[in-house]
Amino acid sequence: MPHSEDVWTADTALNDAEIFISPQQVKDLSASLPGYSAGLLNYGIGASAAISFYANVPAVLKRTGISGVDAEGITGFPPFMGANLITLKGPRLVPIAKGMQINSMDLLYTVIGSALSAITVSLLALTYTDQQAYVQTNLIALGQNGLPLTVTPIGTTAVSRKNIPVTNPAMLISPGTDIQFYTKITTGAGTAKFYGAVLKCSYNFA
Amino acid sequence: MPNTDQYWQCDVALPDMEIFCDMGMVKDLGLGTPASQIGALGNIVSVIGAGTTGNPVLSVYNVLKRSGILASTALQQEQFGTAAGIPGPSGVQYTSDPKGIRGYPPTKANALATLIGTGGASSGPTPKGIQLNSFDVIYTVAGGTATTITMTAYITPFVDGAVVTPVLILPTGAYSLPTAISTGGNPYRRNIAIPSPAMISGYDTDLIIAPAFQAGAGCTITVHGFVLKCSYNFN
Repeated sequence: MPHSEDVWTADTALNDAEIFISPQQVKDLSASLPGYSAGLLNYGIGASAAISFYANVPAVLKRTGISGVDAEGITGFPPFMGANLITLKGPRLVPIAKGMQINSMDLLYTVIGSALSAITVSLLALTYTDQQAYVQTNLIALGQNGLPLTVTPIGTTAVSRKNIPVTNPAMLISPGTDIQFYTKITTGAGTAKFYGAVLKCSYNFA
Repeated sequence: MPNTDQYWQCDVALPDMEIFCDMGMVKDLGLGTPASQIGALGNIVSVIGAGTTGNPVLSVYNVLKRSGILASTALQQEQFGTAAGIPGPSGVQYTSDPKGIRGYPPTKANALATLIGTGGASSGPTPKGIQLNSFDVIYTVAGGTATTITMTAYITPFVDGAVVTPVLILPTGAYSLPTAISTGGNPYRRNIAIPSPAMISGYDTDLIIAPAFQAGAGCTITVHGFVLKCSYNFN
């Protein structure tokens, strides 16, 4: 059984983590309640309505990294002469980025009867520092972001699951950072259902 | 400090993870869903009054799921014994870890565990992430007996352009959950096993716990929460 009394560390992140943002964690800003039937939780959105959904994402486990000089970019094999030691010459003087990196997000919804009038979505990272203005980073800037307005062609309960990439994915290493999800769905003559969103992440807890 | 420029991997999941879902997570679904409130000890609970049924449905959003990864020639060296001539695991048959390996290399080609024997035909990524093995239900019955208490669990995958089809991982049942008045007002903590536990590795999947508490005449049921007992493998 491999075991260490120290810590294991690995510099490469794994890229297959998923975090489901559920209607259950969405804040009630819409004056409507989510519906439930046999394993399916969703918000129903009536005709000619504009409903906003906010959610904090508590399942994102963040790390700030630990100090240690690691030069990376090493070529060749040891032994090295002192003058060429990459750990002495290497430019890296900060911790290797760890924790969670959000690469993209799926939005899950159904459009029923008639096309939506509008749909927008954003994903923000908000960093709080003592006695300073908070810093807002647009992981996904507020906009339609390629999401379809049209009725899903396969029946009225088929799901639209479209992926939206994060513009500049990076590990969320700043202390005191919150991840906030927002979407606004505006219906026309038809209705819609909102099921949630899924964050696609790289992570490195080692 | 042991360090690798790559990532550490281990195929065996650890079985000791707990995820506590308290009643602060429960969404108000309208009729039949008890609102959360602060209990006598300062804990958050849901209280189901006499003659009513409460359905505190939980979408367990604080689980970290994985879909599994395939090997990459950028990171893994060529593997001995793979049929595809590329590192495994891959989508090609005979490239995934066959398990049950005995003995030490070098091994003759006709005895390579990756090409024959237990699991030798396997392909695809090793299942990773979270596996729900069982969950505890914590509740108190007071004043009278409960009429029925049942539990159900689903995993609900979302696929683009497809109708949503929740998958039962725990059929609705009573699972020997006691309905009698709790002795001394102390809560029950009873465990319910998932019949066929497996890693939740499908894309865009929601995990749903759907209880139903029906309080009888004079009965009050206080629901404290659910504790998911999981295996996990993040490496």
